[in-house]
Parts: sequence; structure tokens; C-alpha cells
Amino acid sequence: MNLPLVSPIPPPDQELLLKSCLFNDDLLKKAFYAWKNLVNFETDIYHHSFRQLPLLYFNLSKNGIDDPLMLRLKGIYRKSWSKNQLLFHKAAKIIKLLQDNEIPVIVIKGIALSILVYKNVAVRPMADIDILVPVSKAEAAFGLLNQSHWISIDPANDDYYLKNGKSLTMTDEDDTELDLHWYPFFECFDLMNENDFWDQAVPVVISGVKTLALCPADELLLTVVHGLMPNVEPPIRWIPDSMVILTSTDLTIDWTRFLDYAKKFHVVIQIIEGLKYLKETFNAPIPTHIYSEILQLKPSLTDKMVYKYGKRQGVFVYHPSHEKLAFLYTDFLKHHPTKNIFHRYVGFLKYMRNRIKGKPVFRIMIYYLSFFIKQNSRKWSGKLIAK
Amino acid sequence: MELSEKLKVNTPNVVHETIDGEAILLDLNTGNYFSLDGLGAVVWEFIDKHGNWVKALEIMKSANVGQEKSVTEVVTNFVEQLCAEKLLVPLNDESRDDISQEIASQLAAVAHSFASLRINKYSDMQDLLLLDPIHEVDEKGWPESRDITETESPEKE
Repeated sequence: MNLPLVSPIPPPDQELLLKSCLFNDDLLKKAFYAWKNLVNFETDIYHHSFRQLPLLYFNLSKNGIDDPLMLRLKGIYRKSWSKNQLLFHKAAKIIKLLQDNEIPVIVIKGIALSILVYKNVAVRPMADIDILVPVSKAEAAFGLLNQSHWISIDPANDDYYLKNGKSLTMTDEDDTELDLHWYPFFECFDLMNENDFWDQAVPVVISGVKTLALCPADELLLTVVHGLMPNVEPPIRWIPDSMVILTSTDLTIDWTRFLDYAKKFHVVIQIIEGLKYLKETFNAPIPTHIYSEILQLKPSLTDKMVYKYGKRQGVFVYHPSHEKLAFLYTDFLKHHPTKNIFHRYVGFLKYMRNRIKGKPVFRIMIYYLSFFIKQNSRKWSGKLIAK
Repeated sequence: MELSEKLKVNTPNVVHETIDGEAILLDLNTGNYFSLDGLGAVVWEFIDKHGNWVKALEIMKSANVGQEKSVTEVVTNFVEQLCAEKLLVPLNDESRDDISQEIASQLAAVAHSFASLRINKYSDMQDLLLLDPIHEVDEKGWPESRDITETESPEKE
């Protein structure tokens, strides 16, 4: 199957910016001045680059670089620090509310990375608060937050997302965004045991409130999977986030767990692509034997389907038929891993019959056919052109 | 205002960080943002680490012989304002009296600029957070807006 993978490689200007954020001494100077020559600071700094500027300031300052941009970069750092502090403060209140109602909380992404990995409040700007609660407590957590004036941004589909999603986005009266997750990433949907991710969670304190964060291996997996998610514009932040996890001397990555989870949740393509890029471009300190093992991984059909269709955007019914079928086929493969082609196709028909109980069989066949044509049209058109 | 000799940062309501010689402070309850430059940042760090602002005053007076009265007035006023803003609160434990030579020397080295001791206060965080820190700020960077008439000017205290 020839799936077009979204490249995790940022364009040259962003790569230089990231090197300026992560490298030291001469390598930093070389990257920073090359970046400055390539971009116009007044006009060329868009969202994803902008979010790296506090880290750029921090790294330039640490390396004693003096530059006319420093004062404005320092201002960006101050703003990020202030905004993040306010988000931490709000997050602490949410965590306390949930804990008081016997709902444990793991902080993920920005808050966890800032405290445990970057150990700096400013360098990783956050747009929202991301928390994880146990799958079995998702509905209760959502209800509690609702009572505390956190409102879902898509209330008509709350029930749908609670049953079929990985998270819900809520906002408060100040328009602060909260992502309430019960799966760290969508690929875990239905594959996660209750204890997964929770069993190795590590303690963390947010604005005086004790809670949990993912262990380094799980946070790295989440960062890479999220970063490598199909996107029009890849969110380059996964690169510094991963690099800082990998280079932190006080964090120990359980690589066995990392690889086991990558296989279990069918995110093998993401980790191959992601870690290969980090190793080749940023000389990421991945143990040699682990890196060799990663490069030798052979993504299965399920891994490929999950990579392309594992994360669905929005509500299922609004997707075109061929995508719906791809989502269902991916779900089927996740739960019925088999290499036998006959079992894959016949099993899928049986699976579909169970999924759409009472609906006419010809409808399944139409979906199936449209999916098959869509998947193979590129191959057929290529052959026709070749002829 | 009667000032306690020993003070501490009003945590967890107040968060602070010193970056490149500037202390930035945020009151999480009010959203008020403060900045202390140069000497102000050193005095803030001295109080945060050692809790005794009177000792900071003594070091500054020793570094400004002949101007003790002015130094006392300026420093007392500065600390009073920090307390009035509830950034500092009385410290009751006795544990932080030891003064490191490093911070004492640092304070003595910049004590001559006591006349510049001041607090920059920015009180509308919601507006400040909307400010584009690349295009809408002056050469000092956020939160100093480029056109002072468009956003609230800092209250120099």
C-alpha cells in the first residue's frame, strides 16, 4: 500500500530556527545568523515559528549572544511566561476540583513539558491546558467541569465525543481552552488498558497542587505521535519537545516501554519517521541498539491504516463515504490483526454487518467498493499513464 | 505603613523570575504584572533569598556614604510599595538570615543607582496579552506598547 506520508521535515527557515533554539556555541551562531538572513523578522514569522521564539531567546541568552533582536525576543519571552503562569494557575484549580471528586489527573503536553522537561515556565508557549483522566472517569470529569462553567465548544456532539473520541475541548468565561483527554492520542482508542500510561506516571506539582505527569517514555511517544499526525503544516514544536526529553540528563527513557506502546497502538510509522529525522538532523542521543531496532521495524498494514486514518477529525457522519469506510476498516484491523488477506476482507464484511445492524447489505458493498476504488485509483491511473 | 523587618514573596499568589537582570512578577489573583530593573531586581532577589530588607538597606547605605538619608527614603518607599501591592508579606520564621557574600557584593556594586529604584506596574493583563509582541511594542519589547496612546501606559511608582 502506497500511502502518502506527511513529511515531518520542516522547511529550511524553520529548521534553522530550531537549530538556533537547540544548538550551542558555533553551531548556534551559524544557524541563527543564517536564519536571520533568510527571514524578515517583521513579516515572515508565522504561528509555528513564533511559538519557538521564547526558546530562541533563552538559548541565545544562555550562549551570550548579543543581537539587536534580543530586546523584542525578551519581550516575547516575558509574554509567554505571563500567559503560561496564568494557565498553570487555572490548571491547578481544575486539577484540584477533579481530585476533590476522586478523579485522578495526568497533565500532558505543555504543562508537563514546561515543568519536568524544559524546567522553565516561558520557553514553551501554551495555547491551552491539556489534562488526561481515566477513560472510566471521562464523563464524570466532563460533568464536573460543566458545573464549574467550563463549556464544550461543540455541545451538540458531546455525547458522540464521549463515546467515540479521545478528548473534548472546553472553554471558560475568559475563553481559556481546556482539552479534557481520556486517551492521550486517538490511536489508543479502544486499545488502551485501564492501567496503560497511568502505571508509570510521575509526580508533578502545578502551582502548589500535586498531580501526575506521563513518564518520559510516554511523553516522548505522545510528542512524536502528535507531531507526526497528518497535517497541512506540521507542528514543528514536536522537534524541540522531543529533543529536550532526549537530551535531559535527569530523565530516563524506558525504551522497551516506548517500543512496546508504539507497536501496541500502531504508531510505528510515526516513531520511525520522527526519530530518524531527530537523529539525522539534530543528532538526537538515541541509544545505538534502540535506533537500529527502530529502523528495522516493518510497519504493518494496520500501522499504515492507523497512520492515515487513525485520527479522524470531527464527527464520523460528516465524513465522505470512502473515508467512513477507511475509518471502519482501520478500527477493524486494530481489533483483528491478521496477515491473511482472506480473513481481512471477509472478516471486515462480518465486522461491518455487526457495526451497521439492520442496514441493507448492498450499502456495505457500495461503501466497500468506493473505498477499494479510491485506494487503488492512483495505482491504476499510474499504470494507464505508463502504457 | 509599618514595615516588618523580615519579608517574603507572597507565594503561591505571586510568581516571579529574574531574566537577564530584570525581575518579572505576576500577581495571579489580580493579573497585575510588575517589572523591576537593575537594582530593583537585585533588591528583590536579596529579599527573596534572605528575607531581610533592612540588611539590604544597610549594605546600600554603606555603599553610598553621605547619602544615607536619601537611600533610606528611596529603599523604604520601594519596599512599602512592594508590600502595598501584596507582592511581599511578613516572614515569621527566622531561618533565612544568612547573607551570601555573592548577593551582598552584587547589591553593593549596583547600590549607587539607588535613585532609579522603582516598580513598573502593568495592570490590564487581558489587554497586554492581546498585544502583538513583534509589531505592537517599542524597542524594549512586550509589555511596552509602541504607541502609548493605544494601550494603557505603565504606572511608574
